[in-house]
Amino acid sequence: MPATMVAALNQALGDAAAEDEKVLVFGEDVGPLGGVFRVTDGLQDRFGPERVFDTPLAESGIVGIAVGLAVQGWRPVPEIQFDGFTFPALDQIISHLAKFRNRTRGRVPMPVTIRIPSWGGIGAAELHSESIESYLVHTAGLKVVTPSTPSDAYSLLRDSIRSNDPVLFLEPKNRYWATEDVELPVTREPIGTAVTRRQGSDVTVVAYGPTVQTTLQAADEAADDGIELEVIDLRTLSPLDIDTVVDSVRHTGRCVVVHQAGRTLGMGAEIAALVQEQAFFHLEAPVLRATGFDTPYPPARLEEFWLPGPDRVLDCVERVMEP
Amino acid sequence: MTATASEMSLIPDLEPIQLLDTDGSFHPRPDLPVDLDDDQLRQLHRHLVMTRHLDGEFIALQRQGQLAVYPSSLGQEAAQVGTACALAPRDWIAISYREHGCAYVRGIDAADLGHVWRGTWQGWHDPLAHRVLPHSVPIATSALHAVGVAMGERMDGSDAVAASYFGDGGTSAGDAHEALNFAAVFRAPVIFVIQNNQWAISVPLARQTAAPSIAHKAIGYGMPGIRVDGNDVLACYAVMADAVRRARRGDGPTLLEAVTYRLEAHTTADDASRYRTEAEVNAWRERDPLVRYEAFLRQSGRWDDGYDEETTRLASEAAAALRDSVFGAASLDPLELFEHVWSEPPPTWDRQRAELARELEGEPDLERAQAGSH
Amino acid sequence: MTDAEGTVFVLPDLGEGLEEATIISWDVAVGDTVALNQTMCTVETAKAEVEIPSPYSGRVVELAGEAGDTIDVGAMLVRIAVGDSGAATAASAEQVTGERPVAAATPTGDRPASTEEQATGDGSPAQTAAGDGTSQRTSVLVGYGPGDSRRRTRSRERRGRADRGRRPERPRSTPPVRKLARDLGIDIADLHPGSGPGGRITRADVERAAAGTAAAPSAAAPSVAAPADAPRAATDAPRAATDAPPVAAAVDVAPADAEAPSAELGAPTDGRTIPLTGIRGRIAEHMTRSRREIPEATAGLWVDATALGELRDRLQGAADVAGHDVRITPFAVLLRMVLVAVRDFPTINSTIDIEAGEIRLHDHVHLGVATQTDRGLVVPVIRDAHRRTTLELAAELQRLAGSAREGKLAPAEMVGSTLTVTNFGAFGTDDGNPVINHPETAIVGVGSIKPRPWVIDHEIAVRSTVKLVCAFDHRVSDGAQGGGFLRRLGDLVERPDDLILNL
Repeated sequence: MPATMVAALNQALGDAAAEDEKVLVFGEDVGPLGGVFRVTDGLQDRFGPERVFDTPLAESGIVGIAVGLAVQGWRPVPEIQFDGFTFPALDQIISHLAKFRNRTRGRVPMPVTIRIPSWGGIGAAELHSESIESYLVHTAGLKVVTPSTPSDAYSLLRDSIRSNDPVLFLEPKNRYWATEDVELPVTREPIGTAVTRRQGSDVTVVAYGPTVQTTLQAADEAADDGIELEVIDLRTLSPLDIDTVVDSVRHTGRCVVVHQAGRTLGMGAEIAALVQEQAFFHLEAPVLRATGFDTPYPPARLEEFWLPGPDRVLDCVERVMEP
Repeated sequence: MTATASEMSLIPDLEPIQLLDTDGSFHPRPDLPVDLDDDQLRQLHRHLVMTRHLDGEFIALQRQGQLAVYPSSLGQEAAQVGTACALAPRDWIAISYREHGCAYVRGIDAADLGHVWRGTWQGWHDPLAHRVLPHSVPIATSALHAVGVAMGERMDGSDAVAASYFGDGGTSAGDAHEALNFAAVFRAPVIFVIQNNQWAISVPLARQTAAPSIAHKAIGYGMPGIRVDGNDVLACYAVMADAVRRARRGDGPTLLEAVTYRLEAHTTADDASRYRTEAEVNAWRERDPLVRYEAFLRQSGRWDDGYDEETTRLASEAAAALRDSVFGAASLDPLELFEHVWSEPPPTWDRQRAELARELEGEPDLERAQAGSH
Repeated sequence: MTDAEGTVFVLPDLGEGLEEATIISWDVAVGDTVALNQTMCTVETAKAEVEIPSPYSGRVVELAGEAGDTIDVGAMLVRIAVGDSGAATAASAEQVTGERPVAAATPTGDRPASTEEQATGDGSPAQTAAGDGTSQRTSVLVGYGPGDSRRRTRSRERRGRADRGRRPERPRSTPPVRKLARDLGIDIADLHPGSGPGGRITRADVERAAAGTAAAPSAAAPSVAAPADAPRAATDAPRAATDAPPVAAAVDVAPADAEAPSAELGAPTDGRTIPLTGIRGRIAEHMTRSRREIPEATAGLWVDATALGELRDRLQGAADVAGHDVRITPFAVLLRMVLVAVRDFPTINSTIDIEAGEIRLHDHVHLGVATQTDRGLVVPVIRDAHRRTTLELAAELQRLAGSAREGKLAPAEMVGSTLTVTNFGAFGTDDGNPVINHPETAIVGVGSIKPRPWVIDHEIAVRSTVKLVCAFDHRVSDGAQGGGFLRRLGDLVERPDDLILNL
């Protein structure tokens, strides 16, 4: 039965709130409106305005009260409406959410999951298509999780909410309406596990969130030319399952990373560093990255030229396959 | 068009509420009862003395190289002790970093604060046992935590309240605004205790706000704002007790502005002579909260030499205990750095942790040399 | 730890990232009793005056200076005999409103550490040892500031990493070696396992494979007109065209694993088994190949080494007088003689190329010197030995021997020989039958130099003698060349004056 990612997320929130009465869902427009993407649709009716509620327009406030609620014993699942709106909340996220357990020597955990519709590809206005994962992955104490499929969206969100660690749950908004034939609820691989979406012997291509689909498309095209890509969906950026990637590169000898975020200090940089550290003597070619550019996110009309599409991926594949 | 009665009621008195005048005479107000018996009144004094005494010990320890830095609470004892004593054990406090008086009232060992200032760890006392959140360095960010805690208590059906402490400088920070707004919108049981000690490091109040007073800021949020003489411990107590009652019965948050003065520099690393005069400081010394309260106890027959000696002895013992605990205290095992970040460390940290372990043992980092070579 | 006379209190960083402070005034004098937290002095920091309270109660023994003196952070400020005061208990506390109170109690028991002890790493402000006045502070806004970093001694150790593959792994190598293999048309998978650690395929593995196959020109002949983009011959000096920096390439070259103790000779694993890997494996392969491919003959010659010994002594003397710090051994002198002898017998310094059907005589001599090390036999190479003076030969020999002993020979120093000399006399043996260092075509062996019976003018005499041997590739050299070369060498040994005539 086909389910969209939105439906999967919606069901995950409902199932989580039903299973654990300490789960709270809050943010801007999540109540009666059901969220600007309808991810929280129907939840307030079902669980009441105490557990599912709208907040004033204040992202720092949203995360700040989540911290306080978590101290007091609740399990907050706030939403930040768009990636670009996370920036005002970064102080609370970095200074407190990430550090509270550490600051209190383990006494006070932060079982908080912040959901954030992320990345571009929907022709939106400024600051609605940002790639914020590098800031978050770089901050010790945060977990960063990102599904690419509806079933992963369901399973990973359930796991994130259950986790006693703070999770930034980045949802690829350009995949919200993609469908997958799946019966929910479903359990997939846990947080911290990458999954090979497609096996191949020629090049290991690493992707996450919105670029998994891009990469699978590229793989189909490459197959026509007799090049078999092995596509790995990271699913979690922190903690990063680099072992799956390295095992694959030890087999293929070639690696390409695909992400929307600009090239410099994107996840590709970290993965390239780890791959060359752990699979240096297996490499046939340098690790390449098919990414967005080191410019601010483009206006809607130029988005398609900025984002890495299958062509950019295949270009990198060609270069690493060069003798 | 004139304001409605309820709008008018939001406007605070500019004159800070005072129950004790500077010579120690008590002027009760029926609307602000001080429901404390003799023992409790003396205990209030003991807290003041303890706070001051320990503050001095802390400064000495810093001057002796035992602490990295220390922010003194000298002069602000009444604002902290008076308000904190109006809370019950089930209530919460979100501090900034100068509220040592609040910590002692809550039973937190001075040494626990000492280890933070020493740099042993970023936090030390048990927040859940004392219901006092850890030190919060980014200004006013803890105000939001107080709101969250208060909302959490209310949703649990309890009547516990939360007190958020920050200063005049903090009222300029964005999170203070968001916290006040959230608290009022959600009618959260929070009392915001703003210690207006006149200075944010070297920036005076006049540069912090153009409002008639900090209490006046409450109008914009739709919550009551109250100005109180922060050096009058009984007034602080009474006003806080009133606000706590309000919050408990579901009438929402209050903003208290305790007007006081920071007699020492911002921290031991600051040089206050660069931005204020000794004359100004001395003028505030004349309004010392301890002097005033002691006068009150004497005048009201609650003082004797036995009590005085006992109080001094207890304070000295506390200072000595602090010294014993902090002076030359050992550092933690550096490997503990890896222990408290997540509920379980990820496998990738084994490598980094092992790196540090090897460095500690005097061996070079071999994993790095070896990685990928096989 | 206390001094003989009291405990030192050093000037702390007062929180302003100080390097030093100036004493404004003292509130105590030597001999005074001081109470805990009693103000001892006022100092001026970069901007403000600060009163310093005493961390101990006791008797003041020494003050660091006078008013006006500047003290470094971390240097002694005052020395106090702790607990030693007229009254064992300190003065009672004076609590003055609005001022810092003084604690009445004396420190209980022993202080956990004096300020001096703190300098040795209990986490307190990182102050250097008291009294030496050195300070390693860095300016900071708040806090102690960064302290001294600890120094560590580095020791080397090796550990393996567990392999993780689930599917077949590619053969291990470095990217530049893979490129070399590609350029040479060699499938690197064919060379697996290689001679590097963990079976890694090394540059030398690839080069050897290239030398042994028809696909590429022999590695040994610079005179062959190689195509412009052909791989560099292993014997060519510059490693110019490599992608990787020399250091990275160096890691891979054949006997480079003199540095890699993956199979430690003399320290057999399990007490009983020596794996045929690494250096030992390579030696085994090499020797087998040599004996398998080369139809060799050996010529031997006993010679009187007395003159050689005398020459060596004179040369050493001359070197010393000239201020050269070089040890000139008989063997070094002998190498000089080999180089002269080989001029007349070029087949001794040649390479055979069966595929090309030719023997290549070299103009240059890169002299390999078989050297025994803890890890096994290695052959460092004196490049362009024919161009070096005797002194230079001796110096280079000494250097290479030292490096070989320490396992520090660079890979470039172990390839490219055109002729090898082995001094089996160093083992104390008289005679030997050395194995030619493939793909060379001859090897010269030298036995032990000892007093032995000798015939002079039909009479038995005792002379210092030595056996010289030459094993030669009989496809390349006939007896005339092999024996002739050896005779020539022997003549030079016995009549060193000929050496000068022929230089």
